[in-house]
Amino acid sequence: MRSEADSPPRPSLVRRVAASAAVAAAIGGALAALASAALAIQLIAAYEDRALLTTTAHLAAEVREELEEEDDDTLEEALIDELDDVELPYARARIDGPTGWLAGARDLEAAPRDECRDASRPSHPARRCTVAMGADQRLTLETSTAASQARVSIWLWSALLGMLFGATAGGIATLVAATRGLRPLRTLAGRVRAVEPARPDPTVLDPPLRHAELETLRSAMVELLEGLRSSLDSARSFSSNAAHELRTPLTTIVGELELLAEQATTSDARSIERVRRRVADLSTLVERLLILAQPGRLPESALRTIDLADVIDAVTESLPDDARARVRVDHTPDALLRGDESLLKALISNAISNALKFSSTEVRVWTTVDATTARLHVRDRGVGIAPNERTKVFEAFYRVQGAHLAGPGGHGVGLALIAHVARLHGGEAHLDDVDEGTLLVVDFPSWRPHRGGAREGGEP
Amino acid sequence: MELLIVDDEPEVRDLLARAFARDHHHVTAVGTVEEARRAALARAHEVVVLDVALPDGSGIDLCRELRMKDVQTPILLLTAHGAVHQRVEGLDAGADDFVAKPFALAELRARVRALARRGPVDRRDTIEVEGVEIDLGACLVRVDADEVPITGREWEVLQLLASRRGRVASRAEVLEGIWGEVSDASSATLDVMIARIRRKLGPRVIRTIRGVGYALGGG
Repeated sequence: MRSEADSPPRPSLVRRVAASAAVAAAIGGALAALASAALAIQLIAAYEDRALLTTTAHLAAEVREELEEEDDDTLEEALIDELDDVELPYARARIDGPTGWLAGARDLEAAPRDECRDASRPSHPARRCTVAMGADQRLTLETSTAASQARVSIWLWSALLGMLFGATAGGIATLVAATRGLRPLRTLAGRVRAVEPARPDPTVLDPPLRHAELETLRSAMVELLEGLRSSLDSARSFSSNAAHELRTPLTTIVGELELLAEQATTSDARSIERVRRRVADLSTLVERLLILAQPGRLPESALRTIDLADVIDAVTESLPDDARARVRVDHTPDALLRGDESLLKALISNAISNALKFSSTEVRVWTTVDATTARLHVRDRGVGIAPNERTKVFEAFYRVQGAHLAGPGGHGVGLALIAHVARLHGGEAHLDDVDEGTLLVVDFPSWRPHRGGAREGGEP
Repeated sequence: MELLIVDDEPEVRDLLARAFARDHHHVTAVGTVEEARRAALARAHEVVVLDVALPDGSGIDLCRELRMKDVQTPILLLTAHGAVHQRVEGLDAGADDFVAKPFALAELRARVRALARRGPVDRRDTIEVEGVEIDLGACLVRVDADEVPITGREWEVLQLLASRRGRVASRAEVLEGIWGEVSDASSATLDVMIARIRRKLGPRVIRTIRGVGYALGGG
């Protein structure tokens, strides 16, 4: 959880899909718009040519009619007259006979009969068409196509706008679609988050998902959880069986030694005491290992409301007088949690005896509590633990460098046991940074009653 | 004292039988649920020491069954399993104490003595004292219907006093019953517990009778 909070924000899959879709839509939109624009330009050009041919043919007919009606008109005059009526920009015309120019603009070149040609000069886009006029004459009409050219650039602009619109609409639509499409993934993520690592329950991932891809992922996770659960179960049953197999003979040995000691002679009593002490050490080690062999988190049914102060007092009471004199305890009232008293006793007793073992002055033990956390602190001013070792010491059987020189050693499971018992309670143990000695901090989820609270009574 | 000892391990059974016989108790030692049931129902014992894991069933189930058949003899459960929930389950089933193997004989003897001296407890589900509702079944304490957080030790003191109702429990009885010994440390802790219970539940819940001991409720 912590790593999730610390890592930089990750790119969103939905946005990535939407961005890809926007690029694809832009390219597609642009290609489609260009193709349709090209087609449209072609069609418009053909239409305009047809219109220009019609106008030219009409002009030819008008010129001939004019010549027939007004006998004294020259061809030139008739052309000029009729050209005035042509409503085209910058219209010019020329009439050719079999031998060449007859009337109109000399610099116009005739196009093949009944066809149109481009007649653009620099900065003057134009088009001209030629039609037959009578049996042996041809009329060529030219007009500026500047307006049509402008229409072409309008078309290009609209193609560009089409592309932009395609990209935006495609991107947004895909964003919405992908968000919706990936919603089942979020459902799955929610279910996976509900899985407790210490108590993996595959049914949390039920029911099956509708979509094939996600269902494949879900069933793979279910299999994983089932495997995890069965290995946790076998670890638990190993721990329970091993406990039974080890504790029963230890009970007999310890008990028989006690009975022997009660009726032994002085010299025997000394050997018996030596054996008893070794067996007690062995029992302690067995108990610690059995605690470490318990996987996961404690089931709710095993938990009681416990005040850290009770457990700390129980532990300090059982210390020898000289050790007890070195421990200073400051309680915060109602440092309550849900837990197992014997396991917490093992945790606190390990924490205090470690502190006593690796220092020679006062050991401070205190608790704090807030809405979420009940916290145990154990502080000594002894040899301390190097910062680079502060994580490793929580591993089982890890001994601090040179610890065997420092005097009485444990089994190297003390801090591992502390961390493990904390985890069994849904808590966490770590060593804080201090100038001198060590400060062990153990966090537990704190507990409050469901309603109401302690009534402040006080002595009368 | 009449003792019933139930353990399927012959070595442990034999050890316990010899240890308690040496303290001049009359011991019946059996190894199965069936034999234990018969023995417990046949005659009254002062304390039953009952192993949890028996070949033909669970000591916890037997404990529950005996309570249902109104056998109120104090029962001390023995367990060798690491499963911590057995402790809670056992106490819920009506057991009075719980000792984990391997144990020191001296401690077991002290606890058995304490149970014998205390005798059967009041197992009525809920009792009310000075506006405080003590739910013995659910291990809950309510003041004005609001649950008040109560810790393991405080609960043990309350429960022990609740089992006496009007009667007064001597300081030594409380110490032996809960800490298994009378010492300066346990005595100091008892004072702290009594003060804490009064702070949480009001000053009149526990009455001090000077030179004698404690009792629940106002006089």
